[in-house]
Amino acid sequence: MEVNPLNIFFVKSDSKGDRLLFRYPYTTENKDENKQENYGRLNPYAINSTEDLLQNPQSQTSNICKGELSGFTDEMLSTLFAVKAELCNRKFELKVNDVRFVGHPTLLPYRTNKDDTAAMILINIVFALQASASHSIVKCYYDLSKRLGKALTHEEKRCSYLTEEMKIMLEAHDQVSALDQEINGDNEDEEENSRHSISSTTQNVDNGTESDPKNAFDLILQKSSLAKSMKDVFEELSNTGIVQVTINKWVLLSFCLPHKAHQIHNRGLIVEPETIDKCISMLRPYHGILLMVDPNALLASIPLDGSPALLRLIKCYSPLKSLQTLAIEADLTLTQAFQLTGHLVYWAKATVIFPLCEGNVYVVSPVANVHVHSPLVDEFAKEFPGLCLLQMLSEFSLPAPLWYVCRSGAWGARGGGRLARLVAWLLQRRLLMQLHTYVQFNSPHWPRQRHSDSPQAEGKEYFCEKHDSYLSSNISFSSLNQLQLNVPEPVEPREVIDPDTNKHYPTQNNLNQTDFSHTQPIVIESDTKYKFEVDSANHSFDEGADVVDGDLNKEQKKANSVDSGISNNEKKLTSRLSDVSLKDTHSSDEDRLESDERYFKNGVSLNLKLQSEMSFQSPTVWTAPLGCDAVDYCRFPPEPPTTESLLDTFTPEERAVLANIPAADNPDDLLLLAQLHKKGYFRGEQHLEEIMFMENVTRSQLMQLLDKFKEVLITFETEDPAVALLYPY
Amino acid sequence: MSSKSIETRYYEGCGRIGPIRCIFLSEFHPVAGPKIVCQFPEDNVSKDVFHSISAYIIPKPQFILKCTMTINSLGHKIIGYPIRIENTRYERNMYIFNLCFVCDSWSKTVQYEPVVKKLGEYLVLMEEETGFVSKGSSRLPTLLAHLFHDLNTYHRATLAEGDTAVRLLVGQPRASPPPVHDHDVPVPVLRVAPPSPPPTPTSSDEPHLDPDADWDLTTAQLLPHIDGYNHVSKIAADADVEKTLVKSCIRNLLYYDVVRLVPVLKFSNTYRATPALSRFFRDPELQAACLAYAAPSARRQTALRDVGRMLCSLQQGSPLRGVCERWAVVAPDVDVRRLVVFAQLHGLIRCIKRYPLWRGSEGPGAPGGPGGSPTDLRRLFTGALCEDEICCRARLDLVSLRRIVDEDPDVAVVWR
Repeated sequence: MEVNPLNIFFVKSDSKGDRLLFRYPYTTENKDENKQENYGRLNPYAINSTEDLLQNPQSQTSNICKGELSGFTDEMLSTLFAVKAELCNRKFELKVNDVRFVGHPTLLPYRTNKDDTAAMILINIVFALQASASHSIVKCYYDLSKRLGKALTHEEKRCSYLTEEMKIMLEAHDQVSALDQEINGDNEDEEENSRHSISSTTQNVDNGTESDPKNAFDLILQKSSLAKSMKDVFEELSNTGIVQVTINKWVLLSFCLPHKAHQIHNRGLIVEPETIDKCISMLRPYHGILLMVDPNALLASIPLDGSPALLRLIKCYSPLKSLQTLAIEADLTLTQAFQLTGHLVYWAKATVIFPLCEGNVYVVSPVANVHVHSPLVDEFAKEFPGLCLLQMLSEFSLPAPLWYVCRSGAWGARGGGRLARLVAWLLQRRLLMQLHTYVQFNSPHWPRQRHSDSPQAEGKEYFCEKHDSYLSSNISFSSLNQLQLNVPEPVEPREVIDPDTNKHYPTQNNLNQTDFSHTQPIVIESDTKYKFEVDSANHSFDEGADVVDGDLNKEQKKANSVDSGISNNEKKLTSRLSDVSLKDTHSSDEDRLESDERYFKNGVSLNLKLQSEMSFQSPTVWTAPLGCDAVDYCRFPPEPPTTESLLDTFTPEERAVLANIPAADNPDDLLLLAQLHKKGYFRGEQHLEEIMFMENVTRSQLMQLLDKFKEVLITFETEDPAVALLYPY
Repeated sequence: MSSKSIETRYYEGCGRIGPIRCIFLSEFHPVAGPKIVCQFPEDNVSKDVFHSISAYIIPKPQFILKCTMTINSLGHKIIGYPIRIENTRYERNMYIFNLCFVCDSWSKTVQYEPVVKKLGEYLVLMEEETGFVSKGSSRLPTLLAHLFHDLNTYHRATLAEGDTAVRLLVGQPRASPPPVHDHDVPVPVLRVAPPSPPPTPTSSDEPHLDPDADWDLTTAQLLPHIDGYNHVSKIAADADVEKTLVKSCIRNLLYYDVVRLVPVLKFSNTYRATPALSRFFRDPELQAACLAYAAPSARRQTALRDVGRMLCSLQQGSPLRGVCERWAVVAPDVDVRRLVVFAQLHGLIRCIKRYPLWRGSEGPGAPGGPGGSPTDLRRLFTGALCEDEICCRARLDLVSLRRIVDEDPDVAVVWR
């Protein structure tokens, strides 16, 4: 496992020179070398290459032997890690063959024993890793080394902890080397050996004789609390990846190596911090969290000075709740909730899901361990007596909503609560994965040219084949708007509550007004031969094209229209029907704003208090176009109305296809389609749940829409990318 | 796309390969200590910087272990191979030198390690013969400049000094490819893969491996059989090559990204879209490449629409067979098989495999011969093997396997 550390070293360098004070684990060098030599000699056919003068002796290519560091003497390491002052307080990264050393050399003042004059000492806590370990792993270890250095600096400053500990270590080294010299005085053969690595010649971990430890590191480990802390750091890194060490019983050092920590719950799952960052940046308010551990245990494990926001969030936790709900209940801003989620995911305490509900579609995840003898089978049987994991998984073979699974034979009368618990269990172990439905507007004209976005598309002429459907005329939408229908003019919003911050808080009461007050002017670019029943109102079609044409011209002159798109060409009329005061250039800005605002369009349901906390929240209101009056979403007060037509988002070809669909006769449906299409929901990037959340439409509305426009709307089911990031594939 | 926006992507850990910024030769001078003898380009590594890190470039003599050392500090990443030559003709009976490559600190440098090592060994040879390094040959600066230019430009260099010559090649560090199974299908991707260069008629037309290329004999024998539909067992049988050999050849091809593996295409397979499918709808180049691969003769616009629909209709639960039946009439130009292969290569869809699991209580059946009774097959129903693999192992056709699986009430099937 390249995540695990190979070794931890503690090196000091001061006026008295450099010294490797402690390392863990400490093993014997000589044993291994002897073994290797023996293996070499065992082969009777091996050619003795010492006579080969032309060939250089083979160089060493690996310094890792059976998962342990080998080939370095302690002196060599201390020389390497006692860096020059220029390299202090920055990242130290040295790669030798297939071992990478990483550390943060820390230069700190310390008190020498005799007088109180402060001298500088360099300490370097170095981790040895496999060179193949990814950069993000190295970065985490570097961070840990830095934190250890900081903690020691603090403790040295507070109570000369480092000085004391180093004294203990140095004494132990001296004691053992004195002992060695005594022994070696009798036995000269060993002298050579011990000179090379005084401290590593023998391994006495097993003996553990307190009276006569032959290894200095043994002695140090018995006497020094710092050495014990380092040992704990190493072992916790190797076991769980989560380090909780109190240095000198004073400084709590908490560290998490996410690459390792996520394997506590899922073997083989490596989650890099970068992935978590990416996941958090893709989080939406409708996502939820699923704790990997018991919430009470988690609460108990949080240190006393833990963030109260985190405690509140965990107290409100339920896998059925979305982050937005959690944020409201825990009295947090949404951003805070996201950050806390990222925190929980980083520490492998939670994963991101879509809140459990009956409509969710789950399938077996591509990385699920479905082996019949996997330990999960027994765990599952213990957790859910009477159920078989394999049988359960096979029920999720075909994508179906949860209520369907619930109703199917195996579940019968067992109730949904248990099913939710079961699904949560399976999700925690990444056995299941949720599928979402994505919608793609299947344009007949690929690749899509977005006329509405390009200014040169203004007044563009196009011709179509003669079409004998029900329509024969243009319709001046603006004239209809203003003359035939009693739709109010765009006016300034009335519901501005807080003019200081330029915000207005929507409430249910003023929704209708808002809608009208921000009616977006509509431009129709349509062909003579087609007509779209766009407006939800009950306008009638004009039969005489000429009349409309005339009206249109008049209308446009009146409107001081910028476009010259009216042209009579081969008796076909391309017309631009536009409202007064057109400015197309705002569209792109608005799109951008719109994307920023999306989180909060649903703000209707938020209470005012929450909103006032969300200072960044854009004051927008969005209601579903349920009735025929709702035309568009509202805008910022300073935002001028735009000329964008909803139907303008469709290309002529697309409109031609749309005109053939019977459902297009229904203005409500067409309007909803156009609105959703315009906002880019039909590009296969947002799933139904997102559309429902953002646009406040119901699932059945969407499903009906999909069904009615199935000629142009195609769907596919796949996983949510944000959630899928945390799956190991 | 300004150069600035690209620049920002160079950060430590970006995993990208950077050029060699500088090559220098340093030695341990008997009087002056560690110093740079010769550097190209000049003054890339300043004296101060060299002084700070000289411990890792010219280590203490007793610590020279003939190993590459890379130090990443002060904005430089320096790869070196310290060398110690013991000989009485030197002032200290010992000569230490190191030829180092300097890269940017964000750059990946594993690929240079063998080159640095080989160069070091070569210099040892030269030094022992003529004292090339210690006497400070006048050709050293040219040699470094030559190396610098050739390695950065061609990723290879040839040095010839006197009678000896050395050839250097900078390899590409790649991950080792996954193991190849009997039931995997290698698909040639050399010319289809990324639609980044504008598709020329030849490249988009018919992707195939060039048998004349410099492959080894066995691979050359296999190449005509790698057509994107034959699985490994079949290739081995058709080409009359031993199966393990085929596998290692294909792994080699995988390593060079000449082929990729996909599951066997069967009309009973089911597929599911991946989040990448939305890319297909956005990316005109991908669309063009897809059409060129799957429907070379189709009229573009109508076909694209149908291709989009076909891809979306590949859902978990609806086998490919049904999709073919539905679309054969509507889009006769589109070759469904090629479409599926293309979509899999680009990660637009994923094949859902079926894993039979035997849940019976008694122990697995006694190991019998291949293609034995259903009880013998049970020991393959562990959940680790998908149907394809079981078929390959038991030499059974899929229909019989499905029948056995369906008839046995103790066998559950998991799709994933």
